[in-house]
Amino acid sequence: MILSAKKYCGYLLATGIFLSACAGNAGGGKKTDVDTSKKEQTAQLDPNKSAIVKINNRLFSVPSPLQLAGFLKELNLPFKKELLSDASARQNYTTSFKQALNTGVYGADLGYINAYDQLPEAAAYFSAVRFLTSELGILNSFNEETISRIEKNSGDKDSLLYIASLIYRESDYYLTNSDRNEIGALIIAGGWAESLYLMTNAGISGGNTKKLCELICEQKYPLNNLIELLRPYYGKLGNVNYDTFLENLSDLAGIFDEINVKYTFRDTKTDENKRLTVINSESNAALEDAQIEVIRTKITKLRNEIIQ
Amino acid sequence: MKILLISVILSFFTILKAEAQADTLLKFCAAHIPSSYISDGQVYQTPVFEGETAEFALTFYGGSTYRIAACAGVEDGNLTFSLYDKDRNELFCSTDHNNAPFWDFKFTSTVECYLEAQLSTESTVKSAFAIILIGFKN
Repeated sequence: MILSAKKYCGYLLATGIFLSACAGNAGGGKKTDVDTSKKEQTAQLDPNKSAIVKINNRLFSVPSPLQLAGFLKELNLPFKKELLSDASARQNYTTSFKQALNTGVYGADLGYINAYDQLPEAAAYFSAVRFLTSELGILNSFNEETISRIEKNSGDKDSLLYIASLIYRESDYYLTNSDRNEIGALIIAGGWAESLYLMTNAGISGGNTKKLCELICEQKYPLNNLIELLRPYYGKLGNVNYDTFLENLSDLAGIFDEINVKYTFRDTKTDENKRLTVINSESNAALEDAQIEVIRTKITKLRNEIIQ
Repeated sequence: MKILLISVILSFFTILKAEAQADTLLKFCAAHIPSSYISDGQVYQTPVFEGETAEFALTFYGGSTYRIAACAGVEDGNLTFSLYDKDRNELFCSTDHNNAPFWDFKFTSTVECYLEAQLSTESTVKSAFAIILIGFKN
C-alpha cells in the first residue's frame, strides 16, 4: 500500500490524538489546545475551581438538518423545489471552504427531499455530496459498502435518511481525527444555514404560523453553538471568506439575541423498563413579523453567497 | 537509511493499529444507536481523565425522542453522563440507572441542555477517549 504524504500525515495526526488520549495527554494536535487542556487539568485539581473541561472542539452540538426538514413536513408546508440548491453546481465549488459549506447545503436539501418523499430527486443530491466529500479528501465516508446500501435502498426513504446521517457522522469523525475540524464545522454550518433558509422561505402563513415561528426562534441556541464551533479558527486560517462568514453569522445571532425565550422547568418522568425519560420542561418564544423578515433576508443573502 | 525505513514501517503499522482501535471504539458506541434512530451527524469526542468532567451544549427539539449513547473504551459503563437544563436543573443521571451506556429522552418542548460526562468512579479506567453519540426520531 502506498500512502500519499497528506494521507500519511492524516494517519499521524489521528494516531497522535488517539495515542495522546490513551497516554493521558489531552490534545487535538495543536499546541494551543494542549496548553489549554493542561491548564484546565491543573485547574481541576484545585477544589475551588471548576472541574469542567472545555476544549475548543466538538463540545457544541448543532441539530441535524435532516431532522429540521422533517419538521417542515409535519407542519404541512408545501414542498418547494425551487428552494433547493442546484445539485449540478457542485463542480463550481473549487475551494475547501465552499466545498465544505455546500456539502452541508446538499445534505440539508437531501433531508428536505427525503422528508417530502421526493425520492427521484435524491440521487442527484447523494451524488453531489459524494462528489464534494471526495474533493475534500474525506476517506471512508463513501466506501463501497455504503454506496451499495444506497443503491439497494434508493426507494426506501427511511433507509436513505439513515444512510445519509451515517455518512455525515463518518465524515465528521474522519475530519476531527484528521485535525480538520474547521472543515467539519463548515459542513455543519452549511447544513444549518440551508435549513434556516428553507424554514424562513417555506411560506409563513395559515394555521401553522405560530409553530413555524417557534421553530425559527429555536434556532437561537444552535446558532450560538455553531458560532462556538467556528470561532476557534477565526483569523487563524488566513481565509477572509471564513472570517467574513463567521462575522455574518454573528450579525444574525445579534437578531436572535433579541428574542426572549421563556423557560419553565417541570419534573421529568422516567420509565426504567423502557429506559426512557420524558422531559416535560417548556420553552416559549415569539417573533414579530418584522424580525422574521429581517432573519429571512439575512439568511437568504448568506445562503446565496454560499451557493454562488 | 535502513533504520529509518524500518522505523517508518513500524510507525505505519502502529498507526494502522491505533486507527483500527479508534474505529472500534466508534463502532462499539454506535451499536447503541439502532437504525430506528437517525444520527445527528456528529461524533462528540474528547479525552477524559479521572475526576474531570467534559461538557457538551445541546439543543433538543420538542416532539422528538432522542437516544444518547456514551462510551469510553469498549466496555459499557465506563463513562457516566448527566443531563441538565440551562438553569442546571438535573434531568437525568446515568449513575441512578446502573451506569446505563445509553438512554432515551422524549422532549415535549424544545429545551437547551448541557450534558456532562465523566469516567465512572467504579471503573478502573483512569483516562480514556470518550465518545458521545446522539440519534433522534421525530
